Amino acid sequence: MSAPDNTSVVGLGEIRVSKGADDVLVCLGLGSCVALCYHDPVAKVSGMAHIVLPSSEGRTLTAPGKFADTAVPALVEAMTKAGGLKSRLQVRIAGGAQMTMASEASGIFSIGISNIEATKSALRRAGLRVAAEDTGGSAGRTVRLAARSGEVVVNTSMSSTHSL
Amino acid sequence: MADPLMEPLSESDMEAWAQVSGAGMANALRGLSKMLGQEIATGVVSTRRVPLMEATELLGGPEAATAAVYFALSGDAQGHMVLVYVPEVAFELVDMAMGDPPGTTKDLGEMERSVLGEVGNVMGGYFLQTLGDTSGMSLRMSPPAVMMDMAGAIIDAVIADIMVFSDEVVVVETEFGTDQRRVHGTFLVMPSPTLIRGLSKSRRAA
Amino acid sequence: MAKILIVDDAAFMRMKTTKLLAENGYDVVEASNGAEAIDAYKRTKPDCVLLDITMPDMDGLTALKELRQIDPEARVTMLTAMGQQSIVLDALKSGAKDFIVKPFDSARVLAAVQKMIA
Repeated sequence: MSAPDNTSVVGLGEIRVSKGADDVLVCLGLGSCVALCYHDPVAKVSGMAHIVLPSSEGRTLTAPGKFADTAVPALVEAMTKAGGLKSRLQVRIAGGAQMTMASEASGIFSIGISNIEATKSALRRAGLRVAAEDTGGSAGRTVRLAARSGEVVVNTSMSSTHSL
Repeated sequence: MADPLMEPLSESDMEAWAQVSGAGMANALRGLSKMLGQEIATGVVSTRRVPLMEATELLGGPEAATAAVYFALSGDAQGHMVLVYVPEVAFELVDMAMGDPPGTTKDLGEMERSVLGEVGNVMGGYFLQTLGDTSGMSLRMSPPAVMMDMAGAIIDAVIADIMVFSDEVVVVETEFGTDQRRVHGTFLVMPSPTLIRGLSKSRRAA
Repeated sequence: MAKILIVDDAAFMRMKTTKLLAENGYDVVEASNGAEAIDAYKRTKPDCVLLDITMPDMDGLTALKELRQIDPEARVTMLTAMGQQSIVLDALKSGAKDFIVKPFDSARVLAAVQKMIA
């Protein structure tokens, strides 16, 4: 990946937290996956999780970031360790597309909708409100989170760019 | 009792899969040659296990512009099949199948998508025929789903489906193409462990 | 002029088959799924049908059974992908006259059509 040095790629199921002045966290090429973004504007800390599936279904986990229900609290914990405060967290989410509607293949491709729903309900359970979102649709997304400012920028493959 | 899906595949399972899927790939390319009316050569067929975290690299990296045709496999066992092309190559393939001069196709409309879907139907059908003949398993493929987007976006729902029971995926992949007109594509098959075990078992029985 | 109904969800396959049949003097009606096929059959009363097996919504086998209910004399040839032998056997039991495996060659399609309308 030809990302600049201050960019950290958050891979499938990973959780990363950053507070460096020029640091950027990025989820590349999201389809059904969801980028969960937290930012604490006072501590100037940001965190990102790359959610793949809606529910851990009670499994013992090596990577809590994989599942919506476990990623939401795990990212809170990681933010807290880095000096963030849960009550100050701004939450943004992006992703959860359904890349094809082709009938018999759409079973697995509808996972994006479940991911979004599960992420939102886990956030509600945690008492966190979604400040902004760019979800659903049928186009892939790359999501960048600027650690210091908390700005979230979404690129779709069809080359539109916008901030959340 | 451990979940049989979680048990690792044995070396002999992997060997059986390599042999049968290699023959299946060769048959798939015969189908494509017949459809296009010209000889399509296949590259090295490689069978390996790939950590799911790295699976998008099979398609050129998460942000790579990709045209892909996806099929769900069902029946006696499950799995996924994906034909992967750089968009320009997919356009080239459409030109070949339609008998148009190179450079005619510039985007994927309904007609172009159905061409790529049909190429997939033929290759996938020939591949499954080899698997079925060898194992006696009955395997069906879904109608094709044609997508053009970032590779990661196309494949992450498939990865999610596999991640429910595994952290790695078994793939067989090959490149194919002609010398005169560049139509290099990658044919990826991701079988469920049940499918591989089924093949392995039928070979031991034979 | 004999009238032939082509049923395939793939626009490319309809185009290729229509072109071939039109060039050989047949009148062609197209449908892109099972439901459209039933409707077109009732409306246009074709002499025979080329029917794809794998289609979304209503698959070819289901459409075949419905066609044969509407018209027990319906003459239908199935278009199949490789590896669908069990469905082909079902189709033949359900009254299909013949089947053609894709990718098909022109001579084979014309022969199947001639046999059906003979």
